[in-house]
Amino acid sequence: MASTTETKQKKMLILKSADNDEFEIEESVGVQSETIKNLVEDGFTFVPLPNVYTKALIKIIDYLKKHANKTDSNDEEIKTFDKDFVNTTFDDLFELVSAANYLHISCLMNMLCQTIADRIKDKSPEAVRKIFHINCDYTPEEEAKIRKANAQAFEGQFDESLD
Amino acid sequence: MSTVSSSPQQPPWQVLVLVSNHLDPKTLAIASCVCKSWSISMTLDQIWQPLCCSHYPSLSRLHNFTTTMDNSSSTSTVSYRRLYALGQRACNRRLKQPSKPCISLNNIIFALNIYKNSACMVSLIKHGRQLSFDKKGVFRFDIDLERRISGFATDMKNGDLGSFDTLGDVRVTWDVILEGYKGVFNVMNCKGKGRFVLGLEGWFSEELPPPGCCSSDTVSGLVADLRLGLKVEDGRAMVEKMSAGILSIPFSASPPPAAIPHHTGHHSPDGHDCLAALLVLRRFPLALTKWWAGNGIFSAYLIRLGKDINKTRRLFLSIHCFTFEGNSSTCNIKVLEVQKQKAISKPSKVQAVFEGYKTDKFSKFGRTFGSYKVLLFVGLGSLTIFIDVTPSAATANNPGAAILLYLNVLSFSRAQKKVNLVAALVRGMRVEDALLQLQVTVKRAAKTVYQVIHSARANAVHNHGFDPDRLLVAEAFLGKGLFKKRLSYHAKGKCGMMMRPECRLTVVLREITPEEEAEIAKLRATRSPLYGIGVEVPLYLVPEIIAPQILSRVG
Repeated sequence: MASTTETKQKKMLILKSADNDEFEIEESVGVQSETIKNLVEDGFTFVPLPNVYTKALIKIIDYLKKHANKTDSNDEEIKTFDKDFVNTTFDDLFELVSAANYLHISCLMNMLCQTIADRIKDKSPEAVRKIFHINCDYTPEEEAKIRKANAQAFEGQFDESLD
Repeated sequence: MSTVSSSPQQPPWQVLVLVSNHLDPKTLAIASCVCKSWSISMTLDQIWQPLCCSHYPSLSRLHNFTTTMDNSSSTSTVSYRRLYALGQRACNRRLKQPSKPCISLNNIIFALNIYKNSACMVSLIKHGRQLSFDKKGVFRFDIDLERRISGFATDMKNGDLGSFDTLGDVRVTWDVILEGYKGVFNVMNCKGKGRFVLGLEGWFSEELPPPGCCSSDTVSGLVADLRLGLKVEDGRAMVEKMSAGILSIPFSASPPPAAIPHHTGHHSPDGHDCLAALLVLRRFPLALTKWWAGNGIFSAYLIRLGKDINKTRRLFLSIHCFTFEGNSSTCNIKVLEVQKQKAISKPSKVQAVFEGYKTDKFSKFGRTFGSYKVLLFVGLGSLTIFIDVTPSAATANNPGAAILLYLNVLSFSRAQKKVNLVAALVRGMRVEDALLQLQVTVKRAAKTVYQVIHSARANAVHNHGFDPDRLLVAEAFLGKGLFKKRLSYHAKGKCGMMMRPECRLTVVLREITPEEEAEIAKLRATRSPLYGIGVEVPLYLVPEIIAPQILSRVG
């Protein structure tokens, strides 16, 4: 195919976010995403991403760039970067998870999901509702029933802090 | 979908499904209580199936089962979440200690029977309510048989035990029955020993089993004790009075041994004083006491180990014999003592040393103190000697001496270095693990090593009351056995020498220390197969499955 000769040069990809902003990245950075990789293999260089907003895309490109040139020497550096990366609000995290999912970047997905999971671990249902501003749509009888079904989980202490 | 994400901070359901793969079962269960849409995302079978399969593999087979109803079979599925909850509940129930039964004395009936030649001679039923006794003192009650007989006058020969010469065949049973016959517990089923002497009380005693099953305690410290008051009528023994009680014998290592003669010296040797003496004896660390009483004679034997087996490599064996003679008014106490020391090269030799004492030295003991020979033999007749090395006693006093061991030796024909490969594999392993490992090891010697360890464990459990789950292969070493020489025929009329090697395998088991146990438990928890592993659900699968349900509910 024609693409085999082209890959030898430094090929650039253009990503287009849902807000119609365009970003230019190197191909080696972009192919960490399975979705982009599939498109590149089919010979596309212009990648529209209708499900990813600019805000999330900027962060993800940051992440990809950092991870693209991963060596043993900058291992520590990447770790601290990751720590800062996930240290954000739930809103941003959800946005990033959807974007990462669409772009199919499994390592980023795992990291983000694990972060969210760790944050809601050991919280009581009331605390979770408060954090996410969820209205409880159970009737009291339904709630009592479902709590009884999951009674074994309600042993021990809960973390009631809202963060 | 749009309605879900309208509220500013609410997570969209796609994210929720992705995140739920990373949650542990407990958080999943809690999260499903948050609201309806969360509940749907958190109870997906894709999430719970791997959890259920790895934690409770046997239960996950229940997922699809066919029920026959109204002559038509239908396949119904139980969600994996339900199965997991079921498994966890069952698991919690198993972990929980059964609560201690609390029974009021008012609901208990005591049934006492005296048999002779397997025919029931006396049968007594006493209700707990009728009894009165001191709450602080020993639990004990007396029953006056004569009055009862005259009151009821049903069995004319009640209490007749026949002539005195045949009293050895008397057997007593004592049962505790819950009111309404809901349960029964046999406190004592004991055959009389020796012969009875006129005017004295023949009595029976038996140690109660320790509470709870599978506990490492081999002694309960409780002794049931029954006494018969006899009187003579026309040369026949009649039961006049019965008294039954339960005595607790505390087991601690504090008081000095010198207290024994003093403690028991100023009392007449009736049953309870003998028990008091026993009480003192039992306070020795690593002490052996099995006692025999009757005829006003009490004898006890005590074998004491040297303080630290490991350090001194020297074993002290002291045998004390206390004899009480006389009737209820006078009493002589004689303390006979033999002390023996023996150097040992290895802790594993302890067993062998004691074996020597079990057989030879006791008979020598009888010969040395000639005047007591008969007396001792009477005692020995009913004496089983066991070495009481309960872990608690040993560790409280001296952790170094707490190594409990059992060794097994077997020689078989195999090259030493070949068997050593297998023995090295299981060295230091828990016995359970070692046996499992040997079952799957493809070496010819594995079978033999398995047999030796298996038999060592059986011996340790059966003979010494060790807890099989807490045993460890402390040592497994090989020595050279007999080297058989055989001729190997060579060409041209020459010959060479061929060796048929044999080797001896010695396996030493010991109980694991509490520290080791804690370490093992910690490893087991962190190495559990699902610790921190999420499950991947391909996302393209998800919308079809839950999107309609969620949309219909929320939007």
